[in-house]
Amino acid sequence: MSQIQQTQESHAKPGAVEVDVRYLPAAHPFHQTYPPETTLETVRTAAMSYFGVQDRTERDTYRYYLGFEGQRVTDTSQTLGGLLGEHRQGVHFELIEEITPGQAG
Amino acid sequence: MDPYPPIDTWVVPTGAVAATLARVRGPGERGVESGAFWLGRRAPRCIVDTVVIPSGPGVEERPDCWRVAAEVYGEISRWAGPQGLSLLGILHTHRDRFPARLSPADRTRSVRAPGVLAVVVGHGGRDDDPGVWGWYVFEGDDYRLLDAEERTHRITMPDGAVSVLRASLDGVEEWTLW
Repeated sequence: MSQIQQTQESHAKPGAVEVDVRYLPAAHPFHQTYPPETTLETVRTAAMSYFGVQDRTERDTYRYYLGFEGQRVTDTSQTLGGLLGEHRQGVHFELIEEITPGQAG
Repeated sequence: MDPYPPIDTWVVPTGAVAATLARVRGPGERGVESGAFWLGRRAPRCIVDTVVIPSGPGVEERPDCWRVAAEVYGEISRWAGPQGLSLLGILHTHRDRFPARLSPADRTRSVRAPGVLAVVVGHGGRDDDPGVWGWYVFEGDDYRLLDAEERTHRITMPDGAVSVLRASLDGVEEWTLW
């Protein structure tokens, strides 16, 4: 292991955030550890990939959003650290599907 | 770890059927669709042990569709996760004159995850024989109708009670139907 790698790892671990994302049809949550500067969009995208779903527009529009403590996360450019503050080391999100029907006909 | 372990059989206790029908018949008599979510622990042999009934603001019961807002669905998800429960099936009704079969909109405007059941009850929920309901399982990229033989082998309905819960924008709580 190089000195640079050692330095990166030693910097990443202390502030790392344990992230769980649940999706109701799934048996297991998505679980990953991220540095606090990770954006919520990164988490959302990784969780969608794990659960095999994706935003899409067909006749209807399908969008997956993160729920946090009962609230919809609207700003996914926000970082984990910005959402949680300095001291929280773990977080649970819900991945929730929203279907917006398209125009009929 | 596979988020969707394969399901061989579903156990749907009679209590789940009774609670679901008790819920959907009222709206059915008013000429609108309604439905319920079936939850349990996902496993090769999974048991529906919880019926969740969406209710109140955010739940649309109309003649042509039953829709649950993402916020209500999110409350169910937030409650179920810590219990270790997953969504096993979604049941909804069709009115008289409409077959107990998934419509094209039903197929696309519903949860699309491997192994999830979609069940359609005809006549506004008055069909109390599950043998005439439409039973589907999501596989690949669509719901597949289970024929009578497969249904007999893969879905059992023993006597048994279940938890019945109400879900709304305010959260999930126990609900007494009777």
